[in-house]
Amino acid sequence: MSLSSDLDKQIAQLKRCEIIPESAVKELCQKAKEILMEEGNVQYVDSPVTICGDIHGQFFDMMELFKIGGFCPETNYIFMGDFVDRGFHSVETFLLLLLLKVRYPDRITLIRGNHESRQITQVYGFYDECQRKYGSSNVWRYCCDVFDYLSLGCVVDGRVFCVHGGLSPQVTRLDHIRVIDRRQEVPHEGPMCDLLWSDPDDINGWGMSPRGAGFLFGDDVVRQFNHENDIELIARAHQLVMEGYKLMFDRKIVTVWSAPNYCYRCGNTASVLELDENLRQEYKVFDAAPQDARSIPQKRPMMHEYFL
Amino acid sequence: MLPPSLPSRNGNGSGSGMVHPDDAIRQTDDDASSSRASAISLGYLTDPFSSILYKPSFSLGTSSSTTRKPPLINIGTHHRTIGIDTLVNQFLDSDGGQVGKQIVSLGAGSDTRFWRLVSRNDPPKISKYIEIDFPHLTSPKAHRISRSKRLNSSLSPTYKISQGGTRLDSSNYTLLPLDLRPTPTKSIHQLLDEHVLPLLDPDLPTLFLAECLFPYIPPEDSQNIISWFGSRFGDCIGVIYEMSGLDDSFGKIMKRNLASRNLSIPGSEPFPTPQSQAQRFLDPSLGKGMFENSGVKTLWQVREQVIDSEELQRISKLEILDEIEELKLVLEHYVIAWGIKGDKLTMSKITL
Repeated sequence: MSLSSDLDKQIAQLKRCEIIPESAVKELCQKAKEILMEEGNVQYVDSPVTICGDIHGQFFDMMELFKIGGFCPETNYIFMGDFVDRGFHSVETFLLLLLLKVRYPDRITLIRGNHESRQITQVYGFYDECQRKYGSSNVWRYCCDVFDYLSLGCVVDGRVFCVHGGLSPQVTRLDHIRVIDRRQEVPHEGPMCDLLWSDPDDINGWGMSPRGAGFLFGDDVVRQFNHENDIELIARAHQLVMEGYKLMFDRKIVTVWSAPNYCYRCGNTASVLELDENLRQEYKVFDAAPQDARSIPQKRPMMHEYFL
Repeated sequence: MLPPSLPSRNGNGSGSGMVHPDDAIRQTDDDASSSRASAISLGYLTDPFSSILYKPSFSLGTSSSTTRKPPLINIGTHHRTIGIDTLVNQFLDSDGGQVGKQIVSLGAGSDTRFWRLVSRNDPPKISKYIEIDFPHLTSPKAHRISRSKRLNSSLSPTYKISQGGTRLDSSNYTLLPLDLRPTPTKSIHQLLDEHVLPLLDPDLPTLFLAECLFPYIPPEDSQNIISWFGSRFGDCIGVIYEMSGLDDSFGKIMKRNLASRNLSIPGSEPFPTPQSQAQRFLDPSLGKGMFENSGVKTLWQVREQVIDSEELQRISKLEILDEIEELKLVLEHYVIAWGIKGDKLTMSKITL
């Protein structure tokens, strides 16, 4: 039933930050699953492409992102996960991205982040937001079913590996990702968990992650992985960086962060990474959207809490 | 994006009653207490008295009615409690714990510390514990104490409620309704001399506690409070917990966010670094109320250096903490600072 004209109408609605009915969400999620299930655990993507990090429900800031990066389908996008939780508009954010995916499947790639999980979204806001906006948990359930189908990573022109968190001691070759059965809730350990939870750090080899999931991995691990897989850059998200992006390890890995003034509290800048057809990197930084009357939810949780 | 501002609590005809310019500040007690209630209910802290002394105010409908706080807030509340408890316990144990001690908690709100201390298996020797706050906050507290056997059985030998139900006195504990800001006719020193000094013994070691109080009052007022304690008590320790280092982008956003709740924090301006918070106890302008040594730790340093790894391990299992960078950023903007004077206390090496 998802005629492109219907989709265009829904996209226009979501761009105004207006939700679509539950029945439309159900249909959208069904369609999205059909598309996503055809994608590999590691999806191939051609340059030029614009790579984005965490969004976390900061809908109006994502609109700023589209302003500086161009809208989809004019710009080809990779979103490296953490679409939901924390911000006020996880529902609108994820539904818009999903609509774009269904409408332009070859112009936007969605990768799973550690927040695209049933367990995490019940702690960090997406579940509550669905309850608040739809009066039941149905929309949350539909979305979580879609989460299970999201790719775990993608590779641009065979040379730039995009993943939400980082590497895993059980993944020395990209082929090791391809054999994972990804259609499940994010496990607490193992390669799938690591890809979504790990962080690069100034250590040698592997270390315990202070997050309690995934690992820390050092320069040598990245060097080895990139060499082994003929990768020149790992692009990942997952960690707040105040300047919007952070290159590490002799520019072999970069953190891209796309949620400006994270949680309406952190005061950070955000960025997207544009790769041209020669994989030349350009980082475009942007700040939070100015306050907008439309953005004021009637009953909002106090997200930017302090110790007072 | 800026955070949306709170729906006006002035309630355009909503019948919410009188509005006072201090409402926003009084409301901060609800932030602290609801955070504490959340941390307790999830197992970060143990405190059987919190639920007796604090009732969430549902009328405001926002943060306070949400019992469960985000993990970052629960963790910060835990670290703040451990840090302050550590200093308070060292103070109570100083001198072998033989001499009676005095504690004055400024802006105490719904704090439960007095009952947590006296209900310990080996209760410390406290000759006087005073809690000071706005009458709006002492009134419900006095009421709850008087209704709870569990609370008022600790008040020896008995207690008396006065001043229209806003004040509660017993020999070891006083709940004092007092606005600490100077009036046209009375300085802070005069106010404290008149209302607080008669309740205390200047010769006993005395600790004053200011948790998130000084940011809301002019810096000269808070320095006057510090100098009063420093000049009236021979052995004194001041413990301050508050935000700090707000010159950066995080601080700018914090000020903007608090302004949307009608809160301003003029008292934070002169203290752009953690070190400056320690230095405020040693400022020559304190005169004879100057302290002899001082120290400071950010809440992040408390996490890294003070709390033992087993405890961190324990609380890490209570909830999934998804982001360390954000936690570090926030915790680095809160400090526990202390100043110490008098031989009895300086010899005890009280520190974090």
